[in-house]
Amino acid sequence: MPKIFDENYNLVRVGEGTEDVDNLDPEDFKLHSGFIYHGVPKGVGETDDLEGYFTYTSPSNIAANTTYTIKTITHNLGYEPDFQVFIGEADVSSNTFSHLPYGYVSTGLYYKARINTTVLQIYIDNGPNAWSSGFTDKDYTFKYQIFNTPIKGHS
Amino acid sequence: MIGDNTPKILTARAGYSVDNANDRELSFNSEWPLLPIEAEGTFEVDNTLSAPETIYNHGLGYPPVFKVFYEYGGYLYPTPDSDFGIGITCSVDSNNLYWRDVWFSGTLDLYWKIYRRSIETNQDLDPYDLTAATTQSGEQGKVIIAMPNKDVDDNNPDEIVFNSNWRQLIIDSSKYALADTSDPGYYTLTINHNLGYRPMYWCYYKDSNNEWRQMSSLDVYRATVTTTSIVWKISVGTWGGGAPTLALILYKSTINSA
Repeated sequence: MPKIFDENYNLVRVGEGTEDVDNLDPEDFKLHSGFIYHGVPKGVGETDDLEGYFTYTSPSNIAANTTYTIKTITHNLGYEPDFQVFIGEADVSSNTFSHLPYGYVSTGLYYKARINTTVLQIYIDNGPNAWSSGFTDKDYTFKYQIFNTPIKGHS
Repeated sequence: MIGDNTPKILTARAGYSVDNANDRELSFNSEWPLLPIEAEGTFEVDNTLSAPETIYNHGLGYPPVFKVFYEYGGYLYPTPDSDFGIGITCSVDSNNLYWRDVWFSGTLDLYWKIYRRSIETNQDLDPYDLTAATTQSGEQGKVIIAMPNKDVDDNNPDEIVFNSNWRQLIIDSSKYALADTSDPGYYTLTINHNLGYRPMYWCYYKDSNNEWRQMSSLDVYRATVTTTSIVWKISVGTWGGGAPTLALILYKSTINSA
């Protein structure tokens, strides 16, 4: 069943202001137990923190048709959880802050993220061009969050 | 603001107390919206499809916020991924979620979520206390809500609706508007957030069918984010069309002060 929201699961309903919760539309609730919300779990058997920040310097040479692992975060949740990763290009352009996958047009060079049942992997996926300047030896920052919700949904 | 004598419900993240928590340490504030999942599902893409294909009839009466991943080689990847050929593939209108990529010829499983919130929402909440979080320790009470017929003590995070110990994906602000054209090189959409850190965000644009799609993330389509504002910028030359209608959702996602 695609629909998650269960309007009748009224265990907890939090509205806003003085309006009676029985008069609210689902969009108006600040919390309703009939929905599911994205949270970053703690204390659920994870090996690494499920949210974080780190810096990275790109290789001095980036070979053609090669991937480079930037960081592997072990979540150990046993399913593929929702996540988001953002990249900041400290050297390339100040104050850029972009979600992954992030690429440079017409270069074949991408920063990407992928997840399976145990790890989130952040990596460079380079296409047919080799690089010894431009994108090499550059400083980047990354922020990531891994959520409790499964990408594949609830059976 | 906490302590402003406005009635509200607060919960704090693990290790913090609502008695003295600042905004970064709270996991819930009844003045802040969360992002409720309305529906989720899977959709197999193959070369027999002729776009548009309706993936799901949500019937909400507005274009909802949505997110799509694809599976390949044992991993799940976020879309849009123009490098792989899964570009801006899906769209929503006030009735449906669609598959819109007529060029993709492979076979893949997509996994999607629709949220109970319109992309077309302008919301700008009050400024928050920006005092840096401090580490505390110790046991505390907490609020945990499990899905129907599930047990909060089973420690299965996928079955948890809400856990006050966890950082939640809290919406700070959102905006949709026709892109500004005052910069001749870029179409832009700006939100002044004044959060004091660079927030995570999601971005959408409206296509020629009046459907909303997720924006790709490229050096020619990207955001300039500071501690006070976000400016989504699209290279006019690369975009090729007229000024698009854009939408941004910002999250209170401080992981550190960067």
